[in-house]
Amino acid sequence: MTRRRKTTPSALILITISLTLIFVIACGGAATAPESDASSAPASAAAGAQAVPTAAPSGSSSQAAQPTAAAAPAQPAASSGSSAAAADPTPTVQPVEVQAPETDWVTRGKHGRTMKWVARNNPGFWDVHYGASLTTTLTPSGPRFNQLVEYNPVNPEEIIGDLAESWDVSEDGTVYTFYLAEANWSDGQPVKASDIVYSLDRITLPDAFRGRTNSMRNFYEHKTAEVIDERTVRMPIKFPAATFMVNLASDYMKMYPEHVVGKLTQEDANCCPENMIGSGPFIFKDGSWQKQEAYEYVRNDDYFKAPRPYFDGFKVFLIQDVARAIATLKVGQADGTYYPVLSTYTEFVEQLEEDTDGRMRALFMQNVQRAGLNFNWLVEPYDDPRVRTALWMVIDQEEIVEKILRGNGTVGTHFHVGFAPNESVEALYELPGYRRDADGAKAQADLDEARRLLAEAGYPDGFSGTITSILTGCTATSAQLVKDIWKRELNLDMTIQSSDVATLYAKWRSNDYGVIVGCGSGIILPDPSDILNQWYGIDTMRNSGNWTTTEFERLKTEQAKELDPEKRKELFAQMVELLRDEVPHYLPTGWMHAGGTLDYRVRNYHVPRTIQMIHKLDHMWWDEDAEKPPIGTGYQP
Amino acid sequence: MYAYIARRGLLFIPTILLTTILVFGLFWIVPGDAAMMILTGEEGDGGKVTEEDIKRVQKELGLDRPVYIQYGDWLWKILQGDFGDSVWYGTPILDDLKDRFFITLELAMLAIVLAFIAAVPLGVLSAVKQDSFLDHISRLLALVGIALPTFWLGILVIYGLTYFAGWLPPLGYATLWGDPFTNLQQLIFPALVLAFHDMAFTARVARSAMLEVMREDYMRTARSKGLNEWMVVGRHALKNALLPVITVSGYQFGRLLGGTIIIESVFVIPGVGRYLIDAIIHRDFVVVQGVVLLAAAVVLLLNLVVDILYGILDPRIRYS
Repeated sequence: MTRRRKTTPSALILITISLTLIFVIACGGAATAPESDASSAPASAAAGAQAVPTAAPSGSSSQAAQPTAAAAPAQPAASSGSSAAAADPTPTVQPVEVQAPETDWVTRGKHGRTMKWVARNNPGFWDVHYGASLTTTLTPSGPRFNQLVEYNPVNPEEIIGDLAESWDVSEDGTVYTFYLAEANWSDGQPVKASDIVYSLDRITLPDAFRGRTNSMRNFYEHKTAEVIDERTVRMPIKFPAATFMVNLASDYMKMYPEHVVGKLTQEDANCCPENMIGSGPFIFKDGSWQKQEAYEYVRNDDYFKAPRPYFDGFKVFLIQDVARAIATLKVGQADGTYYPVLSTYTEFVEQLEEDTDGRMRALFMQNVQRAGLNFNWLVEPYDDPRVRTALWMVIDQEEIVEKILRGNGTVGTHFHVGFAPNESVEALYELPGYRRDADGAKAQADLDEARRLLAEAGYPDGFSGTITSILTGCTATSAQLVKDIWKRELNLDMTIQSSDVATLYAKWRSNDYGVIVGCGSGIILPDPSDILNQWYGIDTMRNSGNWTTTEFERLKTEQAKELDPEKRKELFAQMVELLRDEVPHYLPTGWMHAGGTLDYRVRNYHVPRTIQMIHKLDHMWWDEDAEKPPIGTGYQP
Repeated sequence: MYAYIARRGLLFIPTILLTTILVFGLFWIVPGDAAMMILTGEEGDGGKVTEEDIKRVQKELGLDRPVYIQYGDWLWKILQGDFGDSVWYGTPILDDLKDRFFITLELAMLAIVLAFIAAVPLGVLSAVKQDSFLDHISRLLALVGIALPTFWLGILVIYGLTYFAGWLPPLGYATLWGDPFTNLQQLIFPALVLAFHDMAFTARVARSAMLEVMREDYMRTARSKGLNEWMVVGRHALKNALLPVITVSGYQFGRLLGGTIIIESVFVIPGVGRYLIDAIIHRDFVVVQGVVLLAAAVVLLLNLVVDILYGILDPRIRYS
């Protein structure tokens, strides 16, 4: 082909630029709904939401649902309505002693403002019963639902009623009778006892995957709950359980409306937030979920805990990059981190408090994640407990805390720090593996003992192997430190095999690894049984080789049934001794804190004991006139 | 030329097929699958997951079938215009892709235009004023642009805006049609970051090409005819020097379409890049395949456009 055309260079450039600009204009018409400037004033999402709260909540159900002594767990039957009590075939008792919580905050709360939060993970599965993740399921989907009972948002140590305004427990501790508050689903239909039974059965549906609600199967036999009347549910459990209520109060144990969710397939429930409704404080704004971008909730004006919630609604911006998330908070584009976790490294939020002249406040969650060594105890040389002990014993946990966690943690214990009597931090420093010499250095005796054990196991000159790790965060840095320590102290020639999360999980699950250095593994429930479930449960990823002993299983079962807290702690102390003797697949190297941030005008947030608790946001409010505390004092509720 | 375009068009088919087979194969080799990610959760602290659970979800997602069946099934659907549903989200990926692709395309085009506008004059000036102070500055700028990773520059820009202006582009993506001013605020900084890198490379190519052309005999002839220097440079040198610049820009544009992942993340742009990286993390092979298919088609199309531009710029080139 030959074509002759007079074209000057300048004309060519002009044509190119013009064409490109036309393309730019033409290509900008994506179907995404236009979004207003995030810094602009928020629109009120709920009519009347600006009203000043009345002196006391109206309606008896609302009143009863407040975290007051009257709504405390295990009310005697007589206080719960005679008809319900009469219908309950089992005699009841009232076993739980409850601290009197602060009660005046409900009326102090102020209405208004559509909040803007920053979150780092994109939603995945909207069915809370199904999803196995805090960040991709619970926090995106949770605020529109209630549980039967919940952790008191202003006193997170305590369990109080949520949809249940009270409950009774049978004398033998195996039958719970829940009396429901007067509440509606967001379509106006009343919450009925049959919905609760439906939800409990859905949570424990046989052969269905249940990511974080699976633990309820330990307590509740599918299809055994009964409707006593419109607002009374009788729920038998398999045995008198110390941790039944701890699990039932978990944010994952959401109650669903049967008339809506009963018609959905699992795929429908998972895929699309618009498909489900709840009775919770907020209603999902249809069409607001833009993947990797944002989603939005508006206030439920018909919430049964009036005058809650206080916010008009909230919008969650999904910002993966931590530097950008911090910058967003710094310039005031958001009011805080959602969950509200930002990072393991709390200095980020401390710095933010300084940089924003105290507007953004640092808040800390103590000991909510774990660090440790996961050994594949099915393969050589890690099948030898002496090798596992030696490798763990040389680790200087204070070095891990200082260098890897940058001071945001404590030394590792098997259960929640200080829970078992023999795992107080002071007691630990008397034990092999934790001891220090007079000069503060790691005890030479421990290093010598580790070398002796390794030699005894047949590896006097060390060995070579692989440390499996993921590419980022404290997992990567702690893997490097562990490798260096093992080389220095035991002459181990380890190679770090870094991978992405999916690869790591696949290798872990199929036992295709030697050692995995873990860092940042989250606790779900504020009870050490959670550690038994996550790290010592059979068929769990963190115990992929199904490590256990007969005695350990016995103790696990006993602690679940032991209702006396002190005796239960003693059982955990026995487990600690057993774990020290038997040397399991997982050996702890640290407990880690997490840091988040909230604007000082966000009021009434109380730091829970785990990241996974209290995500309904119905107790917090915005107070424009709040007094800014001095810089460096962190978030004050 | 039409026959040439038709032949090139036919070549698209095996090229795209090979690309998708390669990606599919790689995805199959890499450990981990979507079923495992669903069951263990992103944080990996899910509860009990039995082998039966894994097999059940694999079956639901169709991951239990032989890999060639999975590929064939995917391909058959594509031929019918069905990109399939994301195995992670359970929603049709075409709905997501059509929005995101145009966002990324807009970002890439803005970046390439900015790069071109800056690079060509810089390269020309640098060549015309060879070894001058201007040339040294231009070369230094080019080297810095090539050496600085875009993600790092992106973070620096975010920090710069935060600390010096106390301002960041608004959150919540606004479309060009819906809110052009917000759209510009959101895209201009990532586009500048991407353009800086591309500008550096293009400027160096433009400078080299100009230097080469300016040593040609016809340049001396043009000058001896009494044409002024800018006429010589603009009319005779630049036109011929633009060929490699166009080639490089075409290549860079294709690279930008798949290479904005980190920048999209830093600047919170919901483009193909962020969608793709999430899909890789979740082993969502349907999404990855869809994105790869789209990217491959666009790159091939771009190559064709560049080849056609050759002919326009240099009439001696024959399409045979």
